[in-house]
Amino acid sequence: MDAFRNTKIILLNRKLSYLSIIILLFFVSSCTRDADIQNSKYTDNYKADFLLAYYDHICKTAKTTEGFFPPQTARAYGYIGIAGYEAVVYGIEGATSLQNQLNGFSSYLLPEVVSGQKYNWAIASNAATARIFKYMFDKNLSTVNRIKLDSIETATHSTLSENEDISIVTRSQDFGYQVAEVVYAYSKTDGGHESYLDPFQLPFSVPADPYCWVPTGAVLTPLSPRWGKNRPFLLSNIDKVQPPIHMPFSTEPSSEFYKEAMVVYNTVKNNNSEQVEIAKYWADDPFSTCTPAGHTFNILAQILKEERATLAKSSMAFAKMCLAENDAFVSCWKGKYDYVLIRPVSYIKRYIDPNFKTVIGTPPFPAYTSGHSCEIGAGSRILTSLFTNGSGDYPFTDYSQLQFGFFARSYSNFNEMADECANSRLYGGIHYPIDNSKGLQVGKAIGDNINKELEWPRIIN
Amino acid sequence: MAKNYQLIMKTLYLLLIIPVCFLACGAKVDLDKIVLEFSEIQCRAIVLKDKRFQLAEHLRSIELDSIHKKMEIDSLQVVIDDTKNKSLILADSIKVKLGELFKNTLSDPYERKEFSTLLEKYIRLNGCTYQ
Repeated sequence: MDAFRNTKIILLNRKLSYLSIIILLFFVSSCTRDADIQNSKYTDNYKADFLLAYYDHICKTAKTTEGFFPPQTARAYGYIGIAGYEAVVYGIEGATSLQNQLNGFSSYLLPEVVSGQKYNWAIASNAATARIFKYMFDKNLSTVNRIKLDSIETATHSTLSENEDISIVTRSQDFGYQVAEVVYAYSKTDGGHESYLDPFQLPFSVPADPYCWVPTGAVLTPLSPRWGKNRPFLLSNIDKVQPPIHMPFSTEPSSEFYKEAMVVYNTVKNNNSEQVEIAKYWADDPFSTCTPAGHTFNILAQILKEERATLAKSSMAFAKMCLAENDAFVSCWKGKYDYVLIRPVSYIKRYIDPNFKTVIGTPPFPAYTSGHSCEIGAGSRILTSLFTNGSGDYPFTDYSQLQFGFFARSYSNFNEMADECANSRLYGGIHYPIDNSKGLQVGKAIGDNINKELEWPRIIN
Repeated sequence: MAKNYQLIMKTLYLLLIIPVCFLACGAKVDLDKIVLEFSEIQCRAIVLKDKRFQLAEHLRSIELDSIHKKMEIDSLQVVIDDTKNKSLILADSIKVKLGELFKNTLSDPYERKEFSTLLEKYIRLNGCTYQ
């Protein structure tokens, strides 16, 4: 009897074991994001060379396309980064789409992968990046830039398609194009659609109060006054990071405001040659710039290349930077037009020295806070998250300005780089110290939000 | 016996040290050569950069002075466009050259840094004669 009971128990245990194995297998298969596409090679099996070529070309295109000022350029980068990431996200282990994470993106349905079918994520990325790139510059894209863009896409597609099944090639390319279409549709409702056609957003009138911005050169109206109303990728990048009101405007020599202006005045008067060089280095060149955001992207691209980062890491890195840079400009521009603060050059000429001259040209928009400081603050936090353990320590040399006649500059830490960029605006005579310190603060908070509020894959090469 | 041993050791030492010296000296000579070659194109970029900043400065001064503004700005714009185009074309060449150099010759980050340090030193010392 006992023997019979034991046999029964053993059989029951066996049945339970089989059942638990089946249940376990069921859970394991449903835990993987999509078991069917596991047959596709992961995104980190692909090189990122072609992606770096696109980012190099974005910079060149921004430089040579009418209407692309810093906010417009940052926005173009923004959507290109999202499309690139969404095209490969299924191939990154532990990665989550940004669809339900970005402000207003959930109502635009991204394509789903076809169950049981293989994809080549590099081909998808190539298609998505090329198409969204074209859309972002669309009506002002020159023939030369269009041809170059097409040639990158065609050459990349041809290389990646070698030895690949034609059905996989077509499916992956279609997937990439569909991603780009959805991201483009999303971009159309953010308030900045085709803003390059009217970057000054006229008509706009600045209040006539003495604390308010006045023209500092031939441009009589300030740039993109309604940019701060654009939809950010993260609401917190507008709601939670706005700078406090600056010190009260005053022309009294004993006032805080006057003292700030005096710091600018004295700095410009006593700049050494190194400081002048720094002012010009970060000014990103008169007539030939892909704007400060472009400089930060050039640094990121250089580091990704040096690190031999895969397509997975590069796509994530660019996506993070793209989101941060776009939001840095939206947030910064909100502050600029909430306060409409007079530029140091105008204040100094009125109340301190009518013959004052800045080192570099003052751009045509209000002072508080500094756009360069916001964007480099955000960028430095993204670089810190990508390449350091949080300390920001990362010895590197920035070679990106060598091509424009500057010497390379070396840094041991991303914060050091950000501080230098922010200070360059003081050396140049175009920002008060508070514009730079608060701009950096805002930018870093934005970078942190992008790193922390969005779900990113943890371990990625 | 001991003398023979010493002789063998000395020969071995020489055989080891000669290629090491040769490689080390060779690498140094190469870097100097690379810097010298690169300095020519870099100098052209520096001269163009200085010109761009000077033009920007000139443009700003004209914009502030309203007399004869329009005509002068128009003629300056021609020079600006020409300088900008030259700068962009040269920037492309430098970028390609630098990319090849970093890919094929200076693959190590320390070599790259040494290269850029030497390049800066060389140009600061010798100036740019290209016009």
